[in-house]
Amino acid sequence: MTRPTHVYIIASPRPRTGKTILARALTEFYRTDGRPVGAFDLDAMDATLSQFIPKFTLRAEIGGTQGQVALFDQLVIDDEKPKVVDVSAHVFEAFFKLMEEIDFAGEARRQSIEPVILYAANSDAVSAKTYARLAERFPGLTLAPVYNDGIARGSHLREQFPAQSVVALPLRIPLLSPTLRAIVDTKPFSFTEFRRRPPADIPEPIEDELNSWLKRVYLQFREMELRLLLSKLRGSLMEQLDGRPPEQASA
Amino acid sequence: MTKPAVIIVGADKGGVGKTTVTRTLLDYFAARKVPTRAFDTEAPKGTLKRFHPDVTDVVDVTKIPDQMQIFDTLSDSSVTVIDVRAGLLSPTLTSLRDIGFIDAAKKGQISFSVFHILGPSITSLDEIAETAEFLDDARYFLVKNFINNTHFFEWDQATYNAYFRRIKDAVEITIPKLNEMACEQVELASVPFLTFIANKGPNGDSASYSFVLRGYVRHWLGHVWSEYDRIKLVDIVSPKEQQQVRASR
Repeated sequence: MTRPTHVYIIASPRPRTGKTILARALTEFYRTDGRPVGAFDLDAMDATLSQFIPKFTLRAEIGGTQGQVALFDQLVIDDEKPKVVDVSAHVFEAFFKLMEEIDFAGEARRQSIEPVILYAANSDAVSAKTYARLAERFPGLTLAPVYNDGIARGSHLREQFPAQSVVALPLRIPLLSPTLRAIVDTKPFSFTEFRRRPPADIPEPIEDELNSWLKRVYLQFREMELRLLLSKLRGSLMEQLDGRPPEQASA
Repeated sequence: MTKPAVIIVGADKGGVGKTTVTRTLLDYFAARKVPTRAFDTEAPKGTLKRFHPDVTDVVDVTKIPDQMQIFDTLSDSSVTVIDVRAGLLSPTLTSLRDIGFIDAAKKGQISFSVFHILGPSITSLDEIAETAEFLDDARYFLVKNFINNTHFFEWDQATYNAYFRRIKDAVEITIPKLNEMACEQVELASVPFLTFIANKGPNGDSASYSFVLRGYVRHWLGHVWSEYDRIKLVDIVSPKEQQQVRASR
């Protein structure tokens, strides 16, 4: 079995729900591991992701066919290189409509590509409704909610954004203190650089806090990747044992 | 009993996407395993032949030898699709009447359908009136082709209805718009839509067309085919018994 190519689609119909910091952390998570990674920034106006990690980020747009080709033709390349797509709120519907129309999920199935939608949860009703609808629109895809403690807290999130499967368990992004937030949001801050060479002007407690935040976030990324790999492995084992695809074997 | 099936695709003016519609028909029949042959009347070059060289012959439908080539060889087992050059729809139907083809269709010896591709102007409506007199029993399909983003709403609906009613049992078919860039790429590739979707070249070798553009074509072709399913096109050209015989072979 070859390693599947993971395509992480980070999305929310609402702006300011922590998508870009998630995209930054996920992209840098692969960088820290020394693995190749590609990020795509769909935010035409702010292009925050491209400003933080310009070396690994391509600016993308899907308003025109050429932009759509430039983006999605990259996303269907099965090169085992994980890809992170930061879908900004104002292109949310356009992105998923296009994804549906050109049947990205079907092509991904044919290739060894595994799309994962990371849905930045927010406590408003629209976010919850859109999440449920997304699960219906893309039944074969992994859709995992992301609870960002800096955006929304509380047990109701688990009811509004239930886990869709044992593979798609929720991710939890811990709260960053205001001081830390300011440091992290100052361009061109890089998590990787920070860990490699912590700046001298940052007090040790702050440094520790960031390291522990990063550790908790990266651990969840690692676990998510393992869950994805395990489910893939399990599927292909079942197939070999039964000589049938797993869906049919369980029926 | 089975009978030969003939489909005429015509338009009174060029540039309304007539050949595009013919190509979707050929793909549709190919996918449903209905044997098909096609005639392209755009002599001498033949756009249709460029896309479907294996099943297409280029003919001049007003010449007797070519009429013989088409109509003397009608067979029970395959569908004949004739792409009639712009402006030749009425003359073609006239010659069909003269050779007794229309009568044979009326007697039910031949399954005969006409796909009239509508352009945005009123002249194409005049043509409906002209062709109406030939066609009592032919299945007449008025195809609104939006592939080039034609605006049919510019028509006066009352005028349109007046023409539309002249043809008994005429059925409307809508071909949706196809993304321009996708359309262009298929033109460049010079392959059937299905081949393009499968990412193959003219000789079956693998190609590298854009996934997005293939997706657009797949999506669009699905819509077109659902229109053909809606009018039960396979049943029209190949009655149930015949399909069963073929299936049991």
